[in-house]
Amino acid sequence: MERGALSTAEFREFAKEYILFCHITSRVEGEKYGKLLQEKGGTGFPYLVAMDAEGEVIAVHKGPRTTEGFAATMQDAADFQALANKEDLTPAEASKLFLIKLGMGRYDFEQAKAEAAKLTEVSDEDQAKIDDALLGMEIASLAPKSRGPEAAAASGKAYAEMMANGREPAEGETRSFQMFYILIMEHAFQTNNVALYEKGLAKMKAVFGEKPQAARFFEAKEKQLADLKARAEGGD
Amino acid sequence: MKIARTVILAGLIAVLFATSALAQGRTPPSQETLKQNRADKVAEEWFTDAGWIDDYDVAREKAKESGKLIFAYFTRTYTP
Repeated sequence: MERGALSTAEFREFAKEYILFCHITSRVEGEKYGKLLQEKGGTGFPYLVAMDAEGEVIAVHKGPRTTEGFAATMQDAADFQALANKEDLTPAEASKLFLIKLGMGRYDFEQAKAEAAKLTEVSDEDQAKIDDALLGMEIASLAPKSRGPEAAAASGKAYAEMMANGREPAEGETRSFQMFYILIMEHAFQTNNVALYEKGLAKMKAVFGEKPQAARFFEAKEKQLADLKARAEGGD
Repeated sequence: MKIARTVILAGLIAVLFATSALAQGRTPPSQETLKQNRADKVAEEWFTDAGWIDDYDVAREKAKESGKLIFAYFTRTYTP
Protein backbone atom coordinates (compact mmCIF):
# COMPACT_ATOMS: atom_id res chain seq x y z
CA MET A 1 0.00 0.00 0.00
CA GLU A 2 2.82 2.44 0.84
CA ARG A 3 4.41 1.91 -2.56
CA GLY A 4 0.98 1.62 -4.16
CA ALA A 5 -2.12 3.62 -3.22
CA LEU A 6 -0.33 5.92 -0.76
CA SER A 7 2.29 6.91 -3.33
CA THR A 8 0.00 8.11 -6.11
CA ALA A 9 -0.58 11.69 -7.25
CA GLU A 10 -4.28 11.05 -6.72
CA PHE A 11 -3.62 10.26 -3.05
CA ARG A 12 -1.54 13.41 -2.60
CA GLU A 13 -4.51 15.45 -3.91
CA PHE A 14 -6.84 13.64 -1.50
CA ALA A 15 -4.38 14.33 1.32
CA LYS A 16 -4.80 18.10 0.97
CA GLU A 17 -8.31 17.82 2.41
CA TYR A 18 -7.28 16.01 5.59
CA ILE A 19 -4.66 15.79 8.32
CA LEU A 20 -2.64 12.65 7.63
CA PHE A 21 -1.54 10.87 10.77
CA CYS A 22 0.67 7.79 10.59
CA HIS A 23 1.04 5.82 13.79
CA ILE A 24 4.08 3.57 13.74
CA THR A 25 4.42 0.72 16.18
CA SER A 26 8.18 0.36 16.33
CA ARG A 27 8.83 -1.43 19.65
CA VAL A 28 11.30 1.31 20.52
CA GLU A 29 11.41 1.55 24.31
CA GLY A 30 9.42 4.47 25.67
CA GLU A 31 7.49 4.83 22.44
CA LYS A 32 4.86 7.56 22.85
CA TYR A 33 1.28 6.28 22.44
CA GLY A 34 2.63 2.77 21.95
CA LYS A 35 -0.82 1.21 22.51
CA LEU A 36 -2.75 3.63 20.32
CA LEU A 37 -3.66 0.94 17.77
CA GLN A 38 -5.47 -1.11 20.43
CA GLU A 39 -7.01 2.00 22.02
CA LYS A 40 -8.54 2.92 18.67
CA GLY A 41 -9.97 -0.54 18.07
CA GLY A 42 -7.28 -1.95 15.78
CA THR A 43 -6.24 -5.59 15.99
CA GLY A 44 -3.78 -5.81 13.10
CA PHE A 45 -1.94 -3.91 10.38
CA PRO A 46 -2.67 -1.94 8.36
CA TYR A 47 -5.53 -0.21 10.14
CA LEU A 48 -7.08 2.91 8.66
CA VAL A 49 -9.61 5.16 10.36
CA ALA A 50 -11.16 8.61 10.25
CA MET A 51 -10.80 10.53 13.50
CA ASP A 52 -12.03 13.87 14.71
CA ALA A 53 -9.75 16.50 16.26
CA GLU A 54 -10.17 14.89 19.68
CA GLY A 55 -8.88 11.61 18.30
CA GLU A 56 -12.23 9.87 18.43
CA VAL A 57 -12.67 7.27 15.71
CA ILE A 58 -15.70 8.14 13.62
CA ALA A 59 -15.24 5.67 10.78
CA VAL A 60 -13.16 2.55 10.22
CA HIS A 61 -12.03 2.02 6.64
CA LYS A 62 -13.35 -1.31 5.40
CA GLY A 63 -13.52 -0.74 1.65
CA PRO A 64 -10.90 -0.98 -1.06
CA ARG A 65 -7.46 0.39 -0.18
CA THR A 66 -7.51 2.93 -2.96
CA THR A 67 -7.80 6.71 -2.93
CA GLU A 68 -11.41 6.34 -4.08
CA GLY A 69 -12.08 3.92 -1.22
CA PHE A 70 -10.39 6.21 1.34
CA ALA A 71 -12.39 9.17 0.01
CA ALA A 72 -15.66 7.27 0.47
CA THR A 73 -14.79 6.50 4.10
CA MET A 74 -13.81 10.10 4.80
CA GLN A 75 -17.02 11.35 3.15
CA ASP A 76 -19.05 9.02 5.38
CA ALA A 77 -17.15 10.36 8.38
CA ALA A 78 -17.80 13.98 7.36
CA ASP A 79 -21.50 13.29 6.71
CA PHE A 80 -21.75 11.49 10.02
CA GLN A 81 -20.09 14.36 11.87
CA ALA A 82 -22.35 16.96 10.24
CA LEU A 83 -25.56 15.03 10.84
CA ALA A 84 -24.70 13.74 14.30
CA ASN A 85 -24.19 17.30 15.54
CA LYS A 86 -27.35 18.65 13.95
CA GLU A 87 -30.54 19.16 15.89
CA ASP A 88 -33.97 18.53 14.34
CA LEU A 89 -32.94 16.25 11.52
CA THR A 90 -35.30 16.04 8.56
CA PRO A 91 -36.66 12.54 7.84
CA ALA A 92 -34.27 12.26 4.88
CA GLU A 93 -31.29 13.27 7.04
CA ALA A 94 -32.31 10.82 9.75
CA SER A 95 -32.39 8.02 7.17
CA LYS A 96 -28.99 9.05 5.85
CA LEU A 97 -27.46 9.17 9.33
CA PHE A 98 -28.93 5.76 10.12
CA LEU A 99 -27.50 4.28 6.92
CA ILE A 100 -24.05 5.75 7.64
CA LYS A 101 -24.12 4.31 11.17
CA LEU A 102 -25.19 0.94 9.77
CA GLY A 103 -22.26 1.04 7.36
CA MET A 104 -19.93 1.89 10.23
CA GLY A 105 -21.12 -1.15 12.17
CA ARG A 106 -22.44 0.95 15.06
CA TYR A 107 -25.47 -1.29 15.69
CA ASP A 108 -26.04 -4.95 16.30
CA PHE A 109 -29.04 -6.50 14.57
CA GLU A 110 -31.56 -5.85 17.36
CA GLN A 111 -30.45 -2.23 17.79
CA ALA A 112 -30.60 -1.69 14.03
CA LYS A 113 -34.16 -3.03 13.83
CA ALA A 114 -35.25 -0.78 16.69
CA GLU A 115 -33.62 2.29 15.15
CA ALA A 116 -35.06 1.52 11.70
CA ALA A 117 -38.54 1.34 13.20
CA LYS A 118 -38.19 4.93 14.46
CA LEU A 119 -37.58 6.35 10.97
CA THR A 120 -40.40 8.17 9.20
CA GLU A 121 -40.93 9.17 5.55
CA VAL A 122 -38.12 7.00 4.23
CA SER A 123 -37.55 7.25 0.47
CA ASP A 124 -37.93 4.07 -1.60
CA GLU A 125 -34.20 4.17 -2.38
CA ASP A 126 -33.18 4.46 1.28
CA GLN A 127 -35.74 1.87 2.33
CA ALA A 128 -34.26 -0.61 -0.14
CA LYS A 129 -30.77 0.04 1.27
CA ILE A 130 -32.01 -0.32 4.86
CA ASP A 131 -33.89 -3.54 4.07
CA ASP A 132 -30.83 -5.01 2.39
CA ALA A 133 -28.54 -4.04 5.28
CA LEU A 134 -30.96 -5.46 7.88
CA LEU A 135 -31.31 -8.66 5.90
CA GLY A 136 -27.52 -9.00 5.82
CA MET A 137 -27.39 -8.48 9.59
CA GLU A 138 -30.15 -11.02 10.13
CA ILE A 139 -28.29 -13.56 8.01
CA ALA A 140 -25.15 -12.93 10.07
CA SER A 141 -27.11 -13.27 13.32
CA LEU A 142 -28.38 -16.70 12.19
CA ALA A 143 -24.94 -17.94 11.10
CA PRO A 144 -23.71 -21.23 12.59
CA LYS A 145 -22.40 -20.79 16.13
CA SER A 146 -20.24 -23.90 15.89
CA ARG A 147 -18.49 -26.04 13.28
CA GLY A 148 -19.99 -29.13 11.72
CA PRO A 149 -22.77 -30.08 9.29
CA GLU A 150 -25.54 -30.00 11.93
CA ALA A 151 -24.96 -26.35 12.84
CA ALA A 152 -24.61 -25.48 9.14
CA ALA A 153 -27.86 -27.26 8.27
CA ALA A 154 -29.69 -25.57 11.16
CA SER A 155 -28.68 -22.16 9.82
CA GLY A 156 -29.57 -23.37 6.32
CA LYS A 157 -33.03 -24.31 7.52
CA ALA A 158 -33.56 -20.79 8.93
CA TYR A 159 -32.33 -19.29 5.65
CA ALA A 160 -34.63 -21.59 3.64
CA GLU A 161 -37.57 -20.28 5.67
CA MET A 162 -36.51 -16.73 4.90
CA MET A 163 -36.30 -17.61 1.21
CA ALA A 164 -39.76 -19.24 1.30
CA ASN A 165 -41.07 -15.92 2.63
CA GLY A 166 -39.47 -14.02 -0.23
CA ARG A 167 -36.65 -12.62 1.90
CA GLU A 168 -33.39 -13.17 0.04
CA PRO A 169 -30.16 -11.13 -0.07
CA ALA A 170 -29.53 -9.02 -3.16
CA GLU A 171 -27.30 -10.71 -5.72
CA GLY A 172 -23.69 -9.76 -5.13
CA GLU A 173 -20.32 -11.07 -4.10
CA THR A 174 -21.05 -10.52 -0.44
CA ARG A 175 -20.34 -12.78 2.50
CA SER A 176 -24.03 -12.90 3.47
CA PHE A 177 -25.08 -13.91 -0.07
CA GLN A 178 -22.59 -16.78 -0.15
CA MET A 179 -23.38 -18.00 3.34
CA PHE A 180 -27.14 -17.82 2.72
CA TYR A 181 -27.19 -20.06 -0.35
CA ILE A 182 -24.34 -22.42 0.57
CA LEU A 183 -26.04 -23.25 3.88
CA ILE A 184 -29.44 -23.59 2.19
CA MET A 185 -27.79 -26.20 -0.05
CA GLU A 186 -26.36 -27.95 3.02
CA HIS A 187 -29.82 -28.04 4.59
CA ALA A 188 -31.35 -29.26 1.30
CA PHE A 189 -28.74 -32.02 1.04
CA GLN A 190 -29.43 -33.25 4.54
CA THR A 191 -33.21 -33.20 4.05
CA ASN A 192 -33.17 -34.78 0.54
CA ASN A 193 -34.71 -31.65 -0.99
CA VAL A 194 -33.52 -31.70 -4.60
CA ALA A 195 -35.58 -28.70 -5.72
CA LEU A 196 -34.24 -26.51 -2.90
CA TYR A 197 -30.66 -27.62 -3.61
CA GLU A 198 -31.09 -26.72 -7.28
CA LYS A 199 -32.48 -23.29 -6.37
CA GLY A 200 -29.51 -22.55 -4.14
CA LEU A 201 -27.06 -23.77 -6.74
CA ALA A 202 -28.70 -21.67 -9.45
CA LYS A 203 -28.42 -18.55 -7.27
CA MET A 204 -24.72 -19.21 -6.63
CA LYS A 205 -24.07 -19.84 -10.32
CA ALA A 206 -25.76 -16.58 -11.28
CA VAL A 207 -23.09 -14.67 -9.35
CA PHE A 208 -20.03 -16.93 -9.29
CA GLY A 209 -20.65 -19.36 -12.17
CA GLU A 210 -18.23 -17.67 -14.57
CA LYS A 211 -15.38 -17.30 -12.09
CA PRO A 212 -12.50 -19.72 -12.75
CA GLN A 213 -11.60 -19.82 -9.04
CA ALA A 214 -15.11 -21.14 -8.30
CA ALA A 215 -14.91 -24.00 -10.82
CA ARG A 216 -13.90 -26.63 -8.24
CA PHE A 217 -16.65 -25.49 -5.88
CA PHE A 218 -19.31 -25.95 -8.57
CA GLU A 219 -17.82 -29.26 -9.67
CA ALA A 220 -18.16 -30.56 -6.10
CA LYS A 221 -21.67 -29.18 -5.76
CA GLU A 222 -22.82 -30.77 -9.07
CA LYS A 223 -21.50 -34.08 -7.81
CA GLN A 224 -23.32 -33.59 -4.52
CA LEU A 225 -26.51 -32.78 -6.45
CA ALA A 226 -26.13 -35.97 -8.49
CA ASP A 227 -25.68 -37.95 -5.26
CA LEU A 228 -28.71 -36.26 -3.77
CA LYS A 229 -30.85 -37.06 -6.83
CA ALA A 230 -29.72 -40.70 -6.78
CA ARG A 231 -30.50 -40.90 -3.07
CA ALA A 232 -33.92 -39.28 -3.52
CA GLU A 233 -34.82 -41.57 -6.44
CA GLY A 234 -33.61 -44.60 -4.49
CA GLY A 235 -35.73 -43.57 -1.55
CA ASP A 236 -32.78 -43.79 0.88
CA MET B 1 -12.11 -28.11 32.16
CA LYS B 2 -9.00 -26.81 33.94
CA ILE B 3 -6.87 -29.45 32.20
CA ALA B 4 -8.30 -28.48 28.79
CA ARG B 5 -7.49 -24.82 29.46
CA THR B 6 -3.97 -25.71 30.51
CA VAL B 7 -3.46 -27.74 27.34
CA ILE B 8 -4.79 -24.88 25.17
CA LEU B 9 -2.57 -22.38 26.99
CA ALA B 10 0.47 -24.62 26.62
CA GLY B 11 -0.29 -25.00 22.91
CA LEU B 12 -0.63 -21.26 22.49
CA ILE B 13 2.64 -20.60 24.25
CA ALA B 14 4.34 -23.23 22.07
CA VAL B 15 2.99 -21.59 18.90
CA LEU B 16 4.04 -18.13 20.06
CA PHE B 17 7.48 -19.41 20.97
CA ALA B 18 7.86 -21.29 17.68
CA THR B 19 7.20 -18.09 15.76
CA SER B 20 9.39 -15.89 17.92
CA ALA B 21 12.77 -14.63 16.84
CA LEU B 22 14.45 -16.58 19.64
CA ALA B 23 13.01 -19.94 18.53
CA GLN B 24 14.00 -19.25 14.94
CA GLY B 25 17.55 -18.65 16.03
CA ARG B 26 17.36 -14.96 15.27
CA THR B 27 18.71 -12.42 17.68
CA PRO B 28 16.01 -9.88 18.58
CA PRO B 29 16.83 -6.52 16.99
CA SER B 30 18.61 -4.00 19.17
CA GLN B 31 16.96 -0.77 20.21
CA GLU B 32 19.30 1.03 17.84
CA THR B 33 18.02 -1.09 14.93
CA LEU B 34 14.40 -0.51 15.91
CA LYS B 35 15.02 3.25 16.10
CA GLN B 36 16.74 3.18 12.72
CA ASN B 37 13.85 1.20 11.16
CA ARG B 38 11.44 3.82 12.37
CA ALA B 39 13.62 6.68 11.12
CA ASP B 40 13.90 4.97 7.73
CA LYS B 41 10.13 4.66 7.46
CA VAL B 42 9.41 8.34 8.04
CA ALA B 43 12.12 9.26 5.52
CA GLU B 44 10.46 7.33 2.70
CA GLU B 45 9.00 9.28 -0.21
CA TRP B 46 5.39 8.18 0.27
CA PHE B 47 5.59 9.55 3.82
CA THR B 48 7.32 12.86 3.18
CA ASP B 49 5.61 13.72 -0.11
CA ALA B 50 2.04 13.45 1.18
CA GLY B 51 2.77 15.30 4.43
CA TRP B 52 2.15 12.54 6.96
CA ILE B 53 2.51 13.45 10.64
CA ASP B 54 3.75 10.75 13.02
CA ASP B 55 3.08 12.65 16.24
CA TYR B 56 -0.44 12.07 17.59
CA ASP B 57 -0.51 15.30 19.60
CA VAL B 58 0.61 17.38 16.61
CA ALA B 59 -1.95 15.69 14.33
CA ARG B 60 -4.81 16.50 16.71
CA GLU B 61 -3.55 20.04 17.18
CA LYS B 62 -3.46 20.59 13.41
CA ALA B 63 -6.93 19.09 13.06
CA LYS B 64 -8.25 21.53 15.66
CA GLU B 65 -6.59 24.50 13.96
CA SER B 66 -7.75 23.57 10.47
CA GLY B 67 -11.14 22.03 11.21
CA LYS B 68 -10.12 19.04 9.09
CA LEU B 69 -10.70 15.39 9.84
CA ILE B 70 -7.75 13.10 10.53
CA PHE B 71 -7.02 10.26 8.14
CA ALA B 72 -5.09 7.82 10.33
CA TYR B 73 -2.93 4.97 9.11
CA PHE B 74 -1.55 2.48 11.63
CA THR B 75 1.51 0.56 10.56
CA ARG B 76 4.65 -0.97 12.10
CA THR B 77 8.38 -1.14 11.54
CA TYR B 78 9.24 -4.26 13.52
CA THR B 79 9.24 -7.81 12.19
CA PRO B 80 6.96 -10.10 14.20
